[in-house]
Amino acid sequence: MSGDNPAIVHVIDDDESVRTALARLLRAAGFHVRTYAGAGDFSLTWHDEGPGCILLDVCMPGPSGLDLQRALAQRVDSLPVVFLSGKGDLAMGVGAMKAGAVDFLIKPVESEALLVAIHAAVERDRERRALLARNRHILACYATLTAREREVFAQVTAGRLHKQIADDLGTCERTVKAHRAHVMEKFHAHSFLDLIKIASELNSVKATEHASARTRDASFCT
Amino acid sequence: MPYVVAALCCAAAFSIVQAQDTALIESTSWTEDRWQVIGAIVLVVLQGALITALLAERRARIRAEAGNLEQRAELAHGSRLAIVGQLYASIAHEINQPLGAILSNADAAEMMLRATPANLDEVRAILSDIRKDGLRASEVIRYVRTLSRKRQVESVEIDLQALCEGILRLVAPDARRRGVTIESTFECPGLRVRGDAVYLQQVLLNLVMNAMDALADVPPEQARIEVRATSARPGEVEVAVRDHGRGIPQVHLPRLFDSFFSTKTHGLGLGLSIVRSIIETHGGHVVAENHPDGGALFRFTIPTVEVAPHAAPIPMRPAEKAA
Repeated sequence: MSGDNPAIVHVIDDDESVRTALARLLRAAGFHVRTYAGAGDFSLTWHDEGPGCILLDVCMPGPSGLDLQRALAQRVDSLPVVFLSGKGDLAMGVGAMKAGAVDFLIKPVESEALLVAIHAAVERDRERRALLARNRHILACYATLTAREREVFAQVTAGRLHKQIADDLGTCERTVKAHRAHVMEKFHAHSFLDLIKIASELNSVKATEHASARTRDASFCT
Repeated sequence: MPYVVAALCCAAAFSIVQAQDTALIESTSWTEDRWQVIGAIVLVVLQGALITALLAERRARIRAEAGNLEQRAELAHGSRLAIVGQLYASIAHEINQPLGAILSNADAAEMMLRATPANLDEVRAILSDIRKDGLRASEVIRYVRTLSRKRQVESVEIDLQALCEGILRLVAPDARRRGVTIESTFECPGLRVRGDAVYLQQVLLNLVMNAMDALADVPPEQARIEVRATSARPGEVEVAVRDHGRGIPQVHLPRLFDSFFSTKTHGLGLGLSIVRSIIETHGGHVVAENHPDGGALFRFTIPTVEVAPHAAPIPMRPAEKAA
């Protein structure tokens, strides 16, 4: 398994014997396992303990697995979901996959297929966490820039020459170069190419934040 | 048929007498009595034929009646098969659940045995669970097979609550899939009735499936079915199945239990007529009405078996709660 600490698989199934059997299998495969008797049980007790995924039954008393997936999709820190359904309903499977499920498996499932799906889901979660950490890091670095440095950063990465920037800001080229050096230092960028990559990452982070803020506002309005 | 034979017989006797009158033959004892003898023989033969015909008719009637009974049993069996067929997904789920657990357990055990040191205690626990799940799956199959088998009506003592709970357990996955909640209340635990368990299960199954159909297009919070058994009058138990759907249109109420009356596009219109015939065979009656607070209400009664006072009833609990 990749990573140092074992991933945690959250098994949600209303059938006790299925739950116990899945937990045993996943433990034997080297995962940490938490079990829950229903979607409500999970929502009440779950807290982020590190990389992992959710192995989710579809038909349960109370909120269904699909309901839980929909609720989790609203959260930034939601875990990837692998469905393990009691019956193969094509429409249900397509819906779940469209909503972002890693896989939609039908009971009784081959252990090999199950473990492949779980590994894929855990891998997706690790990647997501790495990306989140990277974004957080870039934002934190950006926050340390002064107003002038931000301006220079924006113009430099937009491909403008030092001379043009200096003219715009009403300073000399040397000052602009000094600002650029500071920016690179604060972003821990080793080359100008790094800086351009960081700029595009920053743009996409800001765009997603903007989009999520907009959907949040929209959901408040409705 | 026998009337025709009788008429022929009379006609023959009459013609013989006529023939005798008009005969102008020498008077030897044979020629004198010839016609009487022939007439008597013909009469005896005709009477024999008449008796045979009557006997044949009686046998045919008995056979037809038996055929009718058989046909009714056949019809009930067909309807039961149809309803069990509708529950296909539910039954598959109930069997798949333990099978899935068995597969995962077996693979987990294999992995555990490969590890060093092997965790034998856990493997032992797994084996015991595998056995339990195997029994659980075979129990479902046995239950469904009893329901689908063709059979004659029998009369035994039945624990009504256990019977109802068995059916509710069978439909539970289907109800969950349809987003329907089923609540059951048994105000008379341990109550026993006399009758045929499979046929009574069919009645309940029919009413509950109908109720679920009635809830197909209602908001989720309204999708509720209440099953209630009460012993309002001594010597009788009433089972009521109520849904919170749109109710039954007034114009349909009088014809609801008629054969071939159906409001469903896929229905044959036999379910409720079979329900009524089963309940009446058990000495009870069934009514359908709209609940004042909305939804359809089906109630049926069956006579109970007197329980000896020393035989304390053992309240049955659903197996899933006990597990």
